[in-house]
Amino acid sequence: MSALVVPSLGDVRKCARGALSLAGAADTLPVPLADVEAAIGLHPAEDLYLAGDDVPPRYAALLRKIRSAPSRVLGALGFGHDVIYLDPELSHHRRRFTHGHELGHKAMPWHQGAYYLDDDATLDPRARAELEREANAFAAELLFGVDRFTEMTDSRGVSLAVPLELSTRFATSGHAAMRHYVAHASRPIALLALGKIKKYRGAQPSLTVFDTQCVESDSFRDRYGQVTDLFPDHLALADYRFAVRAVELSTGLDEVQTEVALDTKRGTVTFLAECATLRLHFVLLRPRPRLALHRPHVQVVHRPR
Amino acid sequence: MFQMSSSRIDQVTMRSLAGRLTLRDVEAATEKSVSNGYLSQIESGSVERPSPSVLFHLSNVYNIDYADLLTRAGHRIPKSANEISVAPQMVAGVPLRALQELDEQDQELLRDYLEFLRSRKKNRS
Repeated sequence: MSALVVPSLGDVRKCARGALSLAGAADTLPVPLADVEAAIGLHPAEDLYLAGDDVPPRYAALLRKIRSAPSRVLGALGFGHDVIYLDPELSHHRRRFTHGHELGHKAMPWHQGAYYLDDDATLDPRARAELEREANAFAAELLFGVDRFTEMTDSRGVSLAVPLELSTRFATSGHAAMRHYVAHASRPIALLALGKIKKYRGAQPSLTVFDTQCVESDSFRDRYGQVTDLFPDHLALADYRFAVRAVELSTGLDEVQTEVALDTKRGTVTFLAECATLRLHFVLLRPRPRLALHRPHVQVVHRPR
Repeated sequence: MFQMSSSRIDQVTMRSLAGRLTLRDVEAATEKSVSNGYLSQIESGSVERPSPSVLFHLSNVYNIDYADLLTRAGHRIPKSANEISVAPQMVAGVPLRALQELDEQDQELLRDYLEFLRSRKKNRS
C-alpha cells in the first residue's frame, strides 16, 4: 500500500506555500510554526489538557475519555476562537506535526465551511476523513517547506542518510523525513517498513511488513508497481538477507547494502537494499545500476510473489 | 458550459449555471485547481462526489452557497442518518474515532471546555 492518496494535493500544496509566504518563512528552517500561525490569523497555540488540580470537576470525565488511547485527542482547532489546542505531552516532533495539521484546517479555506454545520446536519464520516487526510498532507508540506526538502535531496545521492541528516534541519522525525524523501523523489525508489519484533510462523522467524508505513515514488510505482505488492505480509529471515541485517542493526543506518531480486510488473529486477532502524526497521530499495562495478554485497535472493 | 449529470448536485443547482461559463473559463478562474478534464468527468457522472475543495472553488466561481453544494454532494448529511454529530462552530481536527465515542452531550461539553480554556487564558492576560 502506498501513502494515502490525497486527490486535492495540488490545492493543499498551494495553501501550504501561501501560508509560508504570508509568514515570510519560505527560506527559514526549521519552519517557524508560530509565525505561520500568526500570519494566518490565529492566536498562539494553547495546551489542550490542564494539570490535575486546574481541571474543573465537570470536565474531568470528558477529559479522561478524550485522553485515553487509542483515540486520544492530540490537537484541535477551535474555529470560533481562532486558537489551536495541543496535547502538552506530545514529543517535539509529534507536536510540530500536530500543530501543522491544525494549521491546515485554518489555512485551507474549504475546511472551515465544511466544519461549520447547523443543528440539522452533520459531516459525513467519509468527508471528515478526507479533510483529515488533507490536513495531514498540509502538515507534511508545511514542515518540509513544500519543495524545499525535495530540492535539497534530489541533488544528492540515494541513501537514507540524506533524509536522516536533513530531518534535524527541518525539525521532523527521521521516520517522517524518510517517508517524505521517498514519496517525493523523482528517482524510482521505495521504502519498506518492518516491525522490530520477530514473529514465528512455524519454526521460521519473520518480520511483519507495516503496510501503512511503506511508500514508493511515482516513478517506482509506474515501473515496478506498489512496493507492498512485491512482498508477502511477513518476511522470513531465511529468505531476505536485508531483513537479517535489519535485525542485526540495533539502531541507525547500515553501511552495507544487500541485493534482492523481486518479481515486478517489469519482470525480475534486482534492487539494492539499505537498512535503517529507528522505532521500525526501514529498507530503502532502488534498482541496481546496470553498470555497477562494485557489487556492494553478496547474496541475491530470488523470492517470487 | 458546465452541468453535473448524476450527482445530487446536478439537477437543482447546476442547471441554472449552464451557459454562464465554459469549462475553460472555470479552469482559468480556479487557477487550474479544477481542471477542464475533471469538470468533464463531473458533468458526465464519472465523478459522482466532487471533493469539498472542488466544490469550494465552484462555489466561488459561480457565486453559490458552498454549504448547499456540500449537502447536495452528500458531504453533509441529516443528523438522524448518522450517529456522529458536530455542534455548530465545533472543532476541527478531532480524530474521528474520538468523536464516535462522544455522545451529543459530551460534544457539547467539549465545546464548553474549549471556551473555558479560552476564557481562562483571557483572565490571565
